[in-house]
Amino acid sequence: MSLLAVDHVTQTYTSASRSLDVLKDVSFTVEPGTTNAIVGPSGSGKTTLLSLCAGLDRATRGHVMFAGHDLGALDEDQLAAWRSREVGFVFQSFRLLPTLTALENVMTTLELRGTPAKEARRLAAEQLEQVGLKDRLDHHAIQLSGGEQQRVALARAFVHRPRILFADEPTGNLDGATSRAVADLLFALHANAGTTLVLVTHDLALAQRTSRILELADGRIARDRVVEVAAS
Amino acid sequence: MSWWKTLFDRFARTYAWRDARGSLAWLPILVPAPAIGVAAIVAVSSFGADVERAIDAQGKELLGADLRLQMAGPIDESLDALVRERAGDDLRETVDMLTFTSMAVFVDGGGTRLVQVRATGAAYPFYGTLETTPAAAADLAVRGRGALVDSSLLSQAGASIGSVVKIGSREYEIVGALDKVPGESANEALFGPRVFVPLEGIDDALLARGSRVSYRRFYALDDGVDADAIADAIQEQTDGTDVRVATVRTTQENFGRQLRNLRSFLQLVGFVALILGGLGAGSAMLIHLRGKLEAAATLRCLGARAGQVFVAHVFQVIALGVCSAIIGVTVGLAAQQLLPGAVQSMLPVDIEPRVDLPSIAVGVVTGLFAAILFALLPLLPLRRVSPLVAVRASFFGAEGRDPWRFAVWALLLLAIFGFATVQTGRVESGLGFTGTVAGLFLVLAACARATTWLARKLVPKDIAFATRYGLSGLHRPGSQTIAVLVALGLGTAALLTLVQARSTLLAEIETISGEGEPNIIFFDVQDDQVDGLAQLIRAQGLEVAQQAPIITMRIRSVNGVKSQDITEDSGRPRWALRREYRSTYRDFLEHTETIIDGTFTGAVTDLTKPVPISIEQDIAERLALERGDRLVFDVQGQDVDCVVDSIRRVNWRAVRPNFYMVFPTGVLEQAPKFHVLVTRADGAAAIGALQRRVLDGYPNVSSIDVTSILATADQLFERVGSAIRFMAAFSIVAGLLVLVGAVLASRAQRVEESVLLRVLGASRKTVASSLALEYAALGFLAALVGGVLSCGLGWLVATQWFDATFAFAPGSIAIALVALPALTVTLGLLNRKAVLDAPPLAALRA
Ligand SMILES: Nc1ncnc2c1ncn2[C@@H]1O[C@H](COP(=O)(O)OP(=O)(O)O)[C@@H](O)[C@H]1O
Ligand SMILES: [Mg+2]
Repeated sequence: MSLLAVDHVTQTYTSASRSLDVLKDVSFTVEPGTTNAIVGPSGSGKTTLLSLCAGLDRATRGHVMFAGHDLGALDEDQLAAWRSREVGFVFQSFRLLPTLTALENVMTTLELRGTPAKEARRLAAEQLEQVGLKDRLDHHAIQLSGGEQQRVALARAFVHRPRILFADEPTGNLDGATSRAVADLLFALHANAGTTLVLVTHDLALAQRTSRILELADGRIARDRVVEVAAS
Repeated sequence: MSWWKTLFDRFARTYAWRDARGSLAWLPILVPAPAIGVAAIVAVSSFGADVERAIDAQGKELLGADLRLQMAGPIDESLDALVRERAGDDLRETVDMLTFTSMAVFVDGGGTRLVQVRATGAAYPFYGTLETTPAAAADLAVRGRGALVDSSLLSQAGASIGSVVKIGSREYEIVGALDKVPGESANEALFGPRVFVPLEGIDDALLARGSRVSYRRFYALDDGVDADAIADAIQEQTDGTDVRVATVRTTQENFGRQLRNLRSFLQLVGFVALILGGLGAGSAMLIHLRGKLEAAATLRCLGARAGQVFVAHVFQVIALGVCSAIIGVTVGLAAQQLLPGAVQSMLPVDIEPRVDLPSIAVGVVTGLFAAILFALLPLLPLRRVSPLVAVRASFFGAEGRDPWRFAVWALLLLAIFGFATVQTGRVESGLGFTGTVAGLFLVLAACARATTWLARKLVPKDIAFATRYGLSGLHRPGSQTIAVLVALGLGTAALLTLVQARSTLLAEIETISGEGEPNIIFFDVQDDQVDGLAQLIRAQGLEVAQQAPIITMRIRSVNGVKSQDITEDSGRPRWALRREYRSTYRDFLEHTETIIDGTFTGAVTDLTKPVPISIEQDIAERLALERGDRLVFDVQGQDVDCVVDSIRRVNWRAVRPNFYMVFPTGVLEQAPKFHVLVTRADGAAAIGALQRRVLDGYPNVSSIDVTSILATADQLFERVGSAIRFMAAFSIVAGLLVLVGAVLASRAQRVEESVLLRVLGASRKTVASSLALEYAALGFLAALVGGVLSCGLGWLVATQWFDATFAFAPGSIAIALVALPALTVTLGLLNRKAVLDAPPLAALRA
């Protein structure tokens, strides 16, 4: 059974008088343990699609199934609980909680699932060590560089070993070298934990490292190709 | 999961704590405003408790005895016998006091003043003490030798201790200055300066010749005697008309009633400060939470439930409320120490500030309530923050109207109402408070809105960039223009109203004593003294402007119904039926009088018909009398049957005897009466000389001149004003705190804007001047709102209260228009350094 199934999803935004079909009858599936990239021009609906997959929004028509369960059948609180167990999320603009330290940011994901504080602290510290930020545990977001912030965000997204990780342009705000380092880390964590990856990206080099590339254009999947030899 | 379980959610708690620790910089912005509200409530209600306790504890001192009889003539010995019979062995002592107004001549200083003479036996007062300078002057032995004179009078009259004061034909050495009389507030001296003299040896001629003398007998009873039962027995025997009986209980009740007004006023101040503080906290919270929205959305993406996010912030608000409460209580307890100083002159009791736990509890509870309720409005959106906010730079989510907002507003009003009702113990007062507060804020908010709107409309589009940009800051979201304008406007309005009311009063006194208008009144003139006195006045080259006989009378019946049988619901208030009327008779109208209904009858000859009288319009309205209504007056034992023949409008502002009832000639000529003569003398010297000369020839004749009324009014204003200034200060401080909160809260936003403007080519100077301009405009608008409001209030006070023409005081408004902007600019530029020094590049990189 596929881990994620997007089934004839249409997303329509209505504002004032006009209604806009951002996604038009999109269907695809994602198999467990794979790495997938969604690419396409700006405004083509990538973020919209990712939000639907992560249960952040509800589709106007069609279904999003996770491990055979329809996300549309869950209420807001159940969706949140599901995310805290099964989903990791990485943002283009990092989105560290500004008032919390790096360690506390990572602990947050664990604590949301009910992990006791002590255990959460140990696991979070371990995870931060894995992303190479052992000596940055007590730093706040403003004391970290962009690359470091995104590494904390990766630690936060992986620490609870989610089954699937969504990333919206994870390297979009980083320069070339940093961006490569973060991508390396992303795939290393994937290799390590076996987490299924769904990435939205502009970055062709990043997309090329995945095993499958979905091309979105004008709200439809224009191309869906499996990359034979992943670069990593 | 139901919402209440979320209240115990561990994650919500943990996050609330960690996030709060990371947001400590906001504490000084969010805490002071609600704290000042708590402080006001704690101070006011502690003070209320202090007053109550003082009245409770000082009940006997307030009366000076356990029981007091008071009559217009010598104490009826049968009543005295009744008291002695009821009290039996428990009667310890009695002492008598006579009070009357008379002229006092300060022989050495040369001053002549109308005073309240209190002639007492040495034993007065049984409880409490007369406070004097030197303290030993209150000693019975010393007091027995001479006079105690109100200290303020002593300096005004140019007299000093050891000099001589003459009352009637008797001369007294002044043995001490009177500082405080038990049961009387310091303000009492302003209405009639007091002189205490020994009862023995008082000039009997003064008592015999017309001065209205009040006779009092004080009784000291043993503990456990029910003075109230004795009082009831006396009331029963006399029908309560001729004698006034006071016990400790009735005295306490009277003072309690009088002080309730003061407390209500202070409570209103407390409410206003609390609500201002709440508004301030709420609007600072709005900015604070706006910055939290993205973090909240991020949490949602990570798998937090909306409820957890909301509850975490509710916890923080509660913690904030607790902080504010602690600080507020501390400040409130300090303010409690200051309050008695501000209002002591209005109080008949000594206030000893003491920590009052219930008042603190009230402050804490209301503070928490206010902090939470006001913060709830900006908190509400967090309840349903969408995770999409975190994934999109610009979120389009149209949230729509939140019905809970109305619920919160309703809850706020309800809370104010509930609190006011609990505090005052009466639903009507609660409604009154809520209405007043809501009305006040609506008016101010409307003023503020109108002025910002006008500022936007009237400012031309093509003026300099700095000006336009600065003014646009007034209506930026979260600028709290309205809250700041309300708070500062209110305080300014209170202060300016005070100034305007005072100038109105002074202007009024000036016009009535102006060129050619009479300025000295002689009263208590006997029948056989009228001609002589008139001659004496003319001999000084002065004119007798008016002369009127005065006959005292009471209403016996109205349209055939006995006045004591007329019930309140007839629309005729008891006081108006029971009071003593001082009427006159003449066959002409004064130029200050106009007939508005009927015809004026000047003289009658046929005494078998009811006497046609003229009634002043206000009292006619109070007594619900119309033309043709029948009145029987008891003219010192003689019934006089009258019919309302005309209704008169009287200009009360003139310094001349005015009357409610004017009789025609031919009726009252033989009744016991005294006379009033009015004249004008120019200059203090001439006035003093005339007064002294009259006093030499007619020791029983009292006189009063307008200049002394002016001085009295001014002093009274000074004292009453201190309570109002206290409230104004609170309001202004609250407003400035709200402003500081707004300024600090918007720092990040302003830095960003400044950087943007400078990247676009604006100089630092342009940015600085637009910032200064924004706050200057804010201060200016606040002063304007306050000024406009004070004119309205001042006009109301002038026309409704003083019955005077409103005197506009442009000077004070001008001062406010300069001072307030100076203040707001100073505070607004707190951000100046951060805003101007932020390097544009750093901002671009972020
Ligand atoms: N809530 C919304 N209401 C209206 N239009 C929206 C909303 N969210 C996204 N859009 C529009 O949908 C389109 C696709 O947006 P998005 O999914 O962010 O594209 P991408 O991530 O591929 O750049 C854009 O034109 C955007 O303006
Ligand atoms: Mg996007």
